[in-house]
Amino acid sequence: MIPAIGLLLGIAAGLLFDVQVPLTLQPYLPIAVVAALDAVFGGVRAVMDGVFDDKVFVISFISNVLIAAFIVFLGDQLGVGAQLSTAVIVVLGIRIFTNVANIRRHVFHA
Amino acid sequence: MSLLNDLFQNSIDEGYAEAAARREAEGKPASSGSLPARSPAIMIGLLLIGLLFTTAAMHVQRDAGVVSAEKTSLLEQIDQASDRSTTLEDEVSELEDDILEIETRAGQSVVQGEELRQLMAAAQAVVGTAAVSGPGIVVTVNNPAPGGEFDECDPSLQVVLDYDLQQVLNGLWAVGAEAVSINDERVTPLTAMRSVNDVILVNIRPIAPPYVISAIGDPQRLAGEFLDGPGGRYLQQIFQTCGIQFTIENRESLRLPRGAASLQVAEPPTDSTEARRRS
Repeated sequence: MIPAIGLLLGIAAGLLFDVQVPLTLQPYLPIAVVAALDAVFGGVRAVMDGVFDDKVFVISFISNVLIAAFIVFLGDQLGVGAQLSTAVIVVLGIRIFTNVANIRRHVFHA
Repeated sequence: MSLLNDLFQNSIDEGYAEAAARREAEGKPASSGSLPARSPAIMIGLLLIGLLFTTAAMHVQRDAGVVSAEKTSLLEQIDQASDRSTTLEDEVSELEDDILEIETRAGQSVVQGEELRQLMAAAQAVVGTAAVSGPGIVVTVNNPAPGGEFDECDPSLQVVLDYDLQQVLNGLWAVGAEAVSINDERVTPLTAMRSVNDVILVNIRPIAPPYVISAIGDPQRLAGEFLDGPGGRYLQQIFQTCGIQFTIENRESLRLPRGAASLQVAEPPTDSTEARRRS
């Protein structure tokens, strides 16, 4: 129950406060979203596998987002931002797909 | 490939497995999923996730708004530009029509100008203010050869008089001469021919015998009819009575100079309709 309240609170905060993302951080927002998705599906799969740990979930989520954004930022500074973005998306995408496939196997046994 | 394989096999965070192993070692269940409700960590995590997703969604929406506003303004600009282009095309076609009209008018005025020039040239040729050339005849009249006896003739008449030349001129006009000159003095409507102190003046210039009268016209008609006409008969008469010599020659090509016939006092009508009515 409390996690659901937390999610709703987050959504409400986002809607109410209309958080203005600084212009310099705007390019990293999509990457952060994908990294967060990866953490979420990883967490869900951990629950399915019966190995879920809340601390690991939160820390992996935060570190995923930060590291993905940092890698892209670094790429931007080096002039290969677009390529590194692609790399991060590919890696995270593969992980998301694998995790979702695993969850699907757990749910549908197929 | 090993990287990719690794990615596929360890798609879940390894932290989960370690945490589970640690918990199992402590004799707790492998998953902390049984008591997530009391976990502040998962609440903070989900709050952050919600915040992140909402922010991203709103950001994308705002961007879309900006993009669509830009698109709308671009579409408006395109509409305006195409309206303007249509207007300009209309203007171009109107102007082309104008150009066509003006060109037609200019062409007409060129034609009219050409006609006017021809009329003018013809008028000048007739009046004598332009040089003319063409076939014709030359009548040469001269004083009697010395030694001739003409008792019936008054001695004062034994020279060529202005009257004689006037008769020749009239005779020439009568048989269709179109332009006449005497000793290269063109005869115009303003030409006077008179004698002053035994000298004949034409166009107020003295001329001396022999008097060469050139006339342009149909040479056969001139040559044939002049001799039988009043001019020819008069010449024959004064030849017989007073010995005035004359010759008539056909010429295939004559060139008569232009004469002066400028108006000093008389004024042509300035109103064109009046001029047309009078003419």
